[in-house]
Amino acid sequence: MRRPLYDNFNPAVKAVTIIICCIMMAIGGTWQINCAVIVSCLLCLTLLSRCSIKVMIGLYMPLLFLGGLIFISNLASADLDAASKTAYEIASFDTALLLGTRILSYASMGILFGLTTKNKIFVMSTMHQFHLKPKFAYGILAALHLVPTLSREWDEVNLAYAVRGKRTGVIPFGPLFNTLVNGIRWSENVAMAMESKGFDGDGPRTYSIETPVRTSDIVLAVASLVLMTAFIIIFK
Amino acid sequence: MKWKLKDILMIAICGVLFAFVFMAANYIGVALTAALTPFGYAPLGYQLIYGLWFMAATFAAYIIQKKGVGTVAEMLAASIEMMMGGMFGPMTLVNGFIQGFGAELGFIATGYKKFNSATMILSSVTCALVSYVSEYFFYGYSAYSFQMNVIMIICRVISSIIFTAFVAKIIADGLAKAGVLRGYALGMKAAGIDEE
Repeated sequence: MRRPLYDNFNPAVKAVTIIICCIMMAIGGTWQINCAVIVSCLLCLTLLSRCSIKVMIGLYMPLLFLGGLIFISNLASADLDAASKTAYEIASFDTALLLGTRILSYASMGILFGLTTKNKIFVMSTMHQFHLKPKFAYGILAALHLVPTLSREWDEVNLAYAVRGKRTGVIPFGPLFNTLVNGIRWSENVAMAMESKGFDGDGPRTYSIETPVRTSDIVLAVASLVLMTAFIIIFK
Repeated sequence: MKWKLKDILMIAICGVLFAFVFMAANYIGVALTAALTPFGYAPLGYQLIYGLWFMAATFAAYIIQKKGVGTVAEMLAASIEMMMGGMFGPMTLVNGFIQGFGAELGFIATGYKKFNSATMILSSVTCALVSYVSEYFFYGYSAYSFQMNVIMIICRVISSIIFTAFVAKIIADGLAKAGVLRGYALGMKAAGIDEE
């Protein structure tokens, strides 16, 4: 049975824990540590969260491809003859593995955070734990809530171009510019609407969602850091 | 500086649009990495388009023209990228801060007095260099040869100048010309309105 331990982990504490683990991993610097981190994240995702396995596989596929490419590229260069080594000089299987798995291990921690954290709870948590000013927090949330509107606008602009027989090109600068224009206009309207309804981004306020730091959060954070330290001691 | 809600929302909404660009750029980065793999230059795949990730900082700083805008804008864009599914999770915030601070250095060097092409280029170069130093540590670039590191830095700086300086400035100037930035320093200058 899957226990949603990571889904209930306080987002701010979780973010700080993951950042510290990433820095420790960078100091560690071996492919064994990277692999241990990847396996740990996969175990946490499958056993300690409610995330969809299908979504998880979908996220890992392009990363495996990218990690594989970096590994192959570094490995291939190790076999180059001396004359062609001037630009690129990596001479060991270990180094190729280190560089290939490094990106995967960082992304694994990112995926662990992303799949077990709700955006709204994270933003609330940054206000409560990091004392982020409400105008920044609600500004981010307002922008995120405008994503469907921006997507719809993007589709409409592209449709308008198509109806008029205008080509948008590989990089659609025209539609991008139009969407940006409307996005900036909306930002002014949304700011006006929020302030006209009494939104004060600086003063004290009450919150509908509280995100307290519980003992379980501290235990989970300490356990994660102890595990990371153990990996470094064992595999360094 | 005192931040207005409309400034934050403008940066955040542009951050959403940039996040879409970043996600598309990720696929381009993978494709470039794949194309360069047979030649042993896979690490250059992302360096060639890295400037795209720094655009939020110079774009916002060029429009709002106040202290600290570059750093805060890049962090806002990074937090939105993270929440929209950026693959590096909370590390995106750390990178956002470093990149934003790197871009800010260019504006600090001019004392926040000049907001022109030269400042944008300077800012894009400082951003590329500062971000490279941090990634040298985080992503283990020390494992690459000296020559490869030099090539990577050159590619990153060129990409940064193209996207972070020129493309960001062209877009911002276009928006000012379109009249949507009248509430910001750049738009006021374009319309000949005195900020004071």
